[in-house]
Amino acid sequence: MVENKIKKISIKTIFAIIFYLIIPLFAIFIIIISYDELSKERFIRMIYWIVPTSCIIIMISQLSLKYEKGSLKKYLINISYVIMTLLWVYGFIGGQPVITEQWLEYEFSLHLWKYLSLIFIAALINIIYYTLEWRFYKEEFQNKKEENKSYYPNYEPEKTCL
Amino acid sequence: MKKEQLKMVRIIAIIFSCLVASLTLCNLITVTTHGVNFELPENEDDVKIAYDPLNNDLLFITDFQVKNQGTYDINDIDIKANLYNEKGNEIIDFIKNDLVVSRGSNKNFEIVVSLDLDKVSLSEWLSLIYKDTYFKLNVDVDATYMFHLIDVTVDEEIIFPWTSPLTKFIENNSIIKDLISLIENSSAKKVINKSEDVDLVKKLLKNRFYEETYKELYKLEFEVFNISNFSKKIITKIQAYLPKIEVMLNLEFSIDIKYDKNVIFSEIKGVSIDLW
Repeated sequence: MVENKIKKISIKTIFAIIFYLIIPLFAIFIIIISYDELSKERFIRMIYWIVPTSCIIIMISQLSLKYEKGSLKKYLINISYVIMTLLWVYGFIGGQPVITEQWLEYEFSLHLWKYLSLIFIAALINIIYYTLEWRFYKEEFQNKKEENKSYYPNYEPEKTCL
Repeated sequence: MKKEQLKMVRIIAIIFSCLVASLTLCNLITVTTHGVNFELPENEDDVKIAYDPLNNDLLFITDFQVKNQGTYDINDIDIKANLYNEKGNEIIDFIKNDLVVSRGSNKNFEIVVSLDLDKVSLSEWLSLIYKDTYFKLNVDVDATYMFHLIDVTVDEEIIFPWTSPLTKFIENNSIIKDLISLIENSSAKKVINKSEDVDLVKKLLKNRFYEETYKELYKLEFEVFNISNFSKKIITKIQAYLPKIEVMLNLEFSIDIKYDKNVIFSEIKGVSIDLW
């Protein structure tokens, strides 16, 4: 018999809220009030990017709780989580691999290619993990599903509510 | 695959994600608040030109500051400065490599671009001496930041006017100014006994200049014609010793001398000085 677990909010979601939404917004807020000379436009643009992407990340993290390990849906949700975090980082660093900073009459550029490569490696490791996890639990999930179907024809694996 | 192995992959993935996340946050705050910053010379006023008589070098001196209030050292700072003449030909190539600015510090780097006057071609030297032109100082800085993950580049071009030292010499040199004012002051009618040396100009110049000449970088020598007529236009040569080259200048003025009962009245006018 399978317990119908009801979780309110997952640790992953809490982490996503803190890390992808609260900390960046707080940091941007501190920068805006501490450095009057900086252009606010750039930070506002950043907020416009961070808020929607982080909201999607939070929703995805919560949604992933609904499905069991081994299910294709969970796997796809995890992959979309990784892609969304990539998009989030992309917006966070200014949406381009080269950041040009203007200071007085001259400017200097930051080339982030190597740094972006590191981000892609991290994303790749996460994708590898989620793929391995899916393949590892796939069989177990299928068996469980079959087993439950025989006992409870209308069975749904897990339910979660926000 | 075992569960432990999967767990291990999970741990690696989490570590990597946390690493990227923390680097992103630290980097954003540092960069956007100008915690990492390069302050370069902005215009020609920031570039000083000096002459080194010992090595016979012309020095273009400027500096730039690297402010690193970030959490990582700035490594491998390479500075490249090229000096171009008005035709766009590179005349000096200056390179400084592998400079480091530690985190939490500000460092000032002096750029001394030295033009060896013994090696410079004659045409370039002549254009330096005689022409009012401009120079382009291209300062190109390459550095790395955050464990070599971020490359920082600065490429600034400073164009500054170059005034011929000769023009400067004529316009600003205190000796020349003194000379002109001395002669002009003498233009008021002056009474001199005939028994005195009629080589009035020579006397005036000599007394004044041989004391002061050697205090200056430029050495002056005078050759003044004897004055024996009542009215004469005098053209005399000034030899100015600029770096590497001896320059001849013309000092031109008129002198009217009137004899009246053994007394000379002299009047000097129309003083001008230019290149010979």
